[in-house]
Amino acid sequence: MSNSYMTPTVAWSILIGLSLLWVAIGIWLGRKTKDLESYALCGRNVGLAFGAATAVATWITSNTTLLAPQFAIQLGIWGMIAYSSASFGLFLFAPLAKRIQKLMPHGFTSGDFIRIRYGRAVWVLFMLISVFYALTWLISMGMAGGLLLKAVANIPYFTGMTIILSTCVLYTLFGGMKAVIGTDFIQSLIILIGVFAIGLVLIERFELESIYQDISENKPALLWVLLPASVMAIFNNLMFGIGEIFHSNVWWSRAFAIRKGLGQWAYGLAGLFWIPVPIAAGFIALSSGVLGVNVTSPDMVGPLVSVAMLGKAGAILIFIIVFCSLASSIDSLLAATSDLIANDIYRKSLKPAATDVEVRKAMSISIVLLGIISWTICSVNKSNLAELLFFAGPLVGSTIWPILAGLYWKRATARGAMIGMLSGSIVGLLAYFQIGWFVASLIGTVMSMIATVTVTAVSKTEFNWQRLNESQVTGE
Amino acid sequence: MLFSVEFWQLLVVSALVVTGATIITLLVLFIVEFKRGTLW
Amino acid sequence: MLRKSTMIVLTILTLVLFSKQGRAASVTSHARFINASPTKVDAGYVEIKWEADKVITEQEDDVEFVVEQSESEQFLTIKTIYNGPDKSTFISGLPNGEYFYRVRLGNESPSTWSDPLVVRVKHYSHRFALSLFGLGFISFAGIVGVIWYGNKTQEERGV
Repeated sequence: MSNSYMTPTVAWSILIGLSLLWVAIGIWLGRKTKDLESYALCGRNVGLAFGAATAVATWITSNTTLLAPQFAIQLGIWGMIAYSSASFGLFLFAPLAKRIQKLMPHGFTSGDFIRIRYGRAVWVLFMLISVFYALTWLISMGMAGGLLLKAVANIPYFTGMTIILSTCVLYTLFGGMKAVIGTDFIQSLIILIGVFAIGLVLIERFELESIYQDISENKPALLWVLLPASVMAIFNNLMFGIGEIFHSNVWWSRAFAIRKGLGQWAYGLAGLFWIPVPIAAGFIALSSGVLGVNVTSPDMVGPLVSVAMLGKAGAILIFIIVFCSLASSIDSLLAATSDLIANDIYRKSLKPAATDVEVRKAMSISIVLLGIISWTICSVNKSNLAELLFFAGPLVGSTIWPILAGLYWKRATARGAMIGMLSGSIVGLLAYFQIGWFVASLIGTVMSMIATVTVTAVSKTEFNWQRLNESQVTGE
Repeated sequence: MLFSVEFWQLLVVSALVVTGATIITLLVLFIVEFKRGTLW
Repeated sequence: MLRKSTMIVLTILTLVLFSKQGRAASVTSHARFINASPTKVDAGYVEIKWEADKVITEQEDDVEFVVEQSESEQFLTIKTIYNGPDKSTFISGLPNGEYFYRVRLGNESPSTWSDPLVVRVKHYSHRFALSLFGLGFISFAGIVGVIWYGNKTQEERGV
């Protein structure tokens, strides 16, 4: 594949230009975030526009923009539809956001909830899963960034990866949650406009019918309604997605940051906005035949088709879109995970008397630390590392039922949560190695469901919901 | 059993239409909340 | 003294014999697939990769390849699936069956075809796929149910 889609001047200008823009915004917004609640939670007053946009932007990762076309060319129409179902995670989180805002008006993190609801032991397990997932996601994003910049702009892997990670660390460091949400809004618009533009150009140039014809002649299985590989994986991937959203502080922190009463609307809208994105981004891959593009490897089909259609402009557009989708996810991860570390580990475990200023400092240090750890592992650049993310599937899947039970069932107990997460994770991982990736999350979730439901059914204790509210004020 | 060509056309066109509507909605929401001072 | 017709027949026979010998003595292909053969795939897609002899790539800058696909081992009906300088191509949407691929150098000095690459496509069974689908659906319905019911009781009871 040619490496000269754009001149080095253009490539570097875009990379440096966009990076400086985000950092500048971060610094500018950071001037108004002196106290901890502003820095970590945007003053708990985020409106609908920013709230919905940040959820959409964060859930659109480079996976969405690069993987959707890949899914389309591998698994056809079903592949795209299956990917779109990941929006259900956002939809389902809407009522959860409402409940979270109601139960924990002073809450900071997902860890807070688990710790108060289930106690320290469960909290430890939950934190391990959370941090593992966050790190693997960070690493996979960092690597994707480096690989993409190399493929589309011929910027060396190490340099590209370093620039992307450090840019995100810098503006998150300076501006906290406000910078994250502010840049997310801009990034979400850029991504959506870019995907829209590419899709529009394609359907103007080719009749959708001719694409369909080409597929039915040359790649007929892509049109099957009952393509087995898709049918069997759809709920597995859905469980992975739901597990990711339900447990991760990325989404809980937004629930705390969005103005009370708007949480469910922001997430509901976000789900709606997200549904078409894998299809709009993915369908272009199916035109590779009519375009006469040779797909050398499936993960490059998106960029290859864009360039074939739009030439240099296509390459630039893809570059910008993927950079934005990476940045919008990396910044959220950095902010939410540092939040978790500073609030849960530092303040609530190590130093209960810590002042807000000290906690904020701990957050800053955590952001930098997370950046360094990810950068170090990304520097190794072994492709298997990105696959670590798949291990997270059964782990996060196992948290779904403990969280649901904890939020809605008075009689859910710590034991149920512990057994649920442990058994779900272990059995899920076993399934991963013995059967395949396509069942791991599903089996982990089902195992966890059985355990949690069973223990809750025989439980006699009742949790007092008030504890979730008062504890924050008394600093438990 | 195959997805029909009509389904394919509907799928792609709706996806693009909704994406376009999303862009507009986000901009409108931004302007409304900006005017009211309720952005964040 | 042989008759004219016999001479003609002998000439033809000799020519045929020599040309057959010529083919038998020709070099083996300068291009080959990197994938192991047979390759088994379960979702109808495969990325096939090939390369030319080091000797060739050292000598020439723009080596071109021609890749053909057939559903018969003898390559009775063929489809040219690639012609150009790339060294891989991604094939997808294949229904169940056996597919044969062969590659050779293009350009001015076309070589002979490589050993064929056999790709066996066998999709997962429908029964397996649908049972996983069913299990997934139950799990999903459970989640939706808990949330829906939980929200309803929350509104009624206020907690």
